[in-house]
Amino acid sequence: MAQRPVVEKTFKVQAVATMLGISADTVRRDSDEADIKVQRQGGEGPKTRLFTIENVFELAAHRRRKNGLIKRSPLIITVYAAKGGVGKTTSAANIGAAFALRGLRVLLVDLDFQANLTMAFGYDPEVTQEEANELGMDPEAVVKYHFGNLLPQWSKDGSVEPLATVIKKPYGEHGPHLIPSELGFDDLEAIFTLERLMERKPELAIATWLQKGLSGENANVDLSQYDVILFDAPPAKNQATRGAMLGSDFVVTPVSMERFSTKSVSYLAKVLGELQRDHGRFPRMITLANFYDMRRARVAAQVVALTTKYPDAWLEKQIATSEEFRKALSDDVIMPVILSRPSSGPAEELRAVANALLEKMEAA
Amino acid sequence: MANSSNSRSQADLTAELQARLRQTGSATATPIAPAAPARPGNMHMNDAPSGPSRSLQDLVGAQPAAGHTGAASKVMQDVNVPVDLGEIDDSPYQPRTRYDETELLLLGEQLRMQGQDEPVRVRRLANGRYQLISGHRRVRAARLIGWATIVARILALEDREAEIATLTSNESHVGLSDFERGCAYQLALDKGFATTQKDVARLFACSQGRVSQCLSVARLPPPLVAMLGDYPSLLTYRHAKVVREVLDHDPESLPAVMAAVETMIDEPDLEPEQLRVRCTTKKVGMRPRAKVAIQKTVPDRSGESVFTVRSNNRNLVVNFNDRLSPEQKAEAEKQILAALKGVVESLEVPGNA
Repeated sequence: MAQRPVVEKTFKVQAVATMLGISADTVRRDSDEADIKVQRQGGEGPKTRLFTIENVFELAAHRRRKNGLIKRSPLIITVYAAKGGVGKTTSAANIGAAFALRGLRVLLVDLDFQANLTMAFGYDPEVTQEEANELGMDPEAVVKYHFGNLLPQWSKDGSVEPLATVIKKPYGEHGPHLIPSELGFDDLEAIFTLERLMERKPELAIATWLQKGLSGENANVDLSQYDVILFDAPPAKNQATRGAMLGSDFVVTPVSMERFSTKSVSYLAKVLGELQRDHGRFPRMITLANFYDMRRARVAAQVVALTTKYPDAWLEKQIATSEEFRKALSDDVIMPVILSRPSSGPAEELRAVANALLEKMEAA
Repeated sequence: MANSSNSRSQADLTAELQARLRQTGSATATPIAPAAPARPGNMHMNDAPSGPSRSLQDLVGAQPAAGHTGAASKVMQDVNVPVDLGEIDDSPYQPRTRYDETELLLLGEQLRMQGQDEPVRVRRLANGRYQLISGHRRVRAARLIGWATIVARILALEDREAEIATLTSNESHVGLSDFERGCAYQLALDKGFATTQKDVARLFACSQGRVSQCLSVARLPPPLVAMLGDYPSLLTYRHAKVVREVLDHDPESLPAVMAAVETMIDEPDLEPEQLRVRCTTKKVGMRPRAKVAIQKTVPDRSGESVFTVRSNNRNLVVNFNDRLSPEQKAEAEKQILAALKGVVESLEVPGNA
């Protein structure tokens, strides 16, 4: 586990060009234009530029300004799968990073007490302040707060932490922002259950938080600065998950194309139907095929079943089974594969998926 | 939908869990039915919803009562919460004067079997207790079946608003007699909630004709109204019409009418025309002794009767209205006895010198 979220890994021009989907020349020109302070390779030979991950996102932000990307109200997305181990968190982390590489302002919210999304960005939620001090770690590396601290339901007196104290910026201001999680976040479920018994509609807690953060009603939280707000929901049908879905415009559900995986999509469809019935609002479902290998008969049968039953939900780009995922997970530097190995097969697929997703959502 | 018999909606689950919370004293938990075995062959797949979806603003804006607002000092109101039945008081504005125990038992059974569909409505009083706005019958039924709490919607209402809300609550009128309705309508007029019968009809969501009928019962001469205070179902508006006609024809016949009406306590099914016959039949040779006890009402400052007095040859019976508190009753008793003593002392009774 990385003990410091500050990433020392550097990227050469070609890697940056791949991440951003532009040419190496454009990378050089734009980074000069934006006056981004990049390191130069030491020693003998050419003094190649070495971009830190912060530099990469700085460049992405510059290109956004330059290209005049128009700010609209944010796309709110929940990534959810009833079935575990289908690459849900990997998808959420990489899609979030891919959106940020396109210059979008991204807020990721970890709703799982197992904090896999938080860890995917290099944080260890179990490191305490004392340990951090002993190890001489950046105090920013310590996870002290989680999404619960932003909700009035969390504390007895309804007080909340300001967004700025809770939020993590693993790759600097211009990279994706993260509301982390840790074990204690699980208590929110108990609080929501109590609220439910008291008929206080905990299902609406997240929707209310979103609405107030977007409308400016909540002085502590300004969500209007973001282009994308993405919740990583746990593989459980709990209150937080339902709440995130109710607040979202889209629910992206990774499907592993294994046996019974169609069933998990069917469960989700049922939950969405309940939301529609109870609240008149529901997110549009998007199925993202993961570990996809059309040569296998069973996979083909699953695909036929899903595309027949939920034709509108099907995303045209998929992620194939790949050994490179496993390699990426054993890297020393913990970061989404789309950043750590931008030229790998999975990274390429994930970028294509992110682009297809954006297109599908914007068309909706 | 799913073929499993074990699936239930979130709302059902919440209701069931709340019912379990209330029954924390009982040892047996509801057994969970075993899940239905998966069907072989083709798997069932649920439909995904289609059609329009509301915006966040509509969703949140449409539900202002969504619990916390974040302000720590905000008094909890307009929310549904379980309230201790021991902390709930009746509304003084409730027009119902009696509760049918059989009906309450049935209602209690329904609550036990089906749970509570809708919250009762209460408001918080300054003393920290809750005052009912609607749900007087359900609260009584819940007490009968031994519930400790009932789900209540706490509203922030001023006295006047609470009075209107209680008076006009639909549930307050289930099984009310014409007389009780008439009193409620009269009260609405007296308090200025409505100025015409048309207004009353609008306020209580009934026809103007019905208002007129019920008011005719509530506006009978005071001795009859006093009797109806004890027996609210004694006269329907059709009986009241007969009584009025008889009295219009002969104002002196009030004692006879009173006597006739009183017989209805034992014969509640007497038809209006039979009552007319009974009111007008001269009982020839009737001795003065047989004079029916005449009820007299004693109004308080607001003009409403607080007790009735019934005098017979040697007996004087004073019936206090239930609206008096025990302290007020004791005080009234003291004063009446003192007054009697004064009267007795002023009398010059022969042979007692």
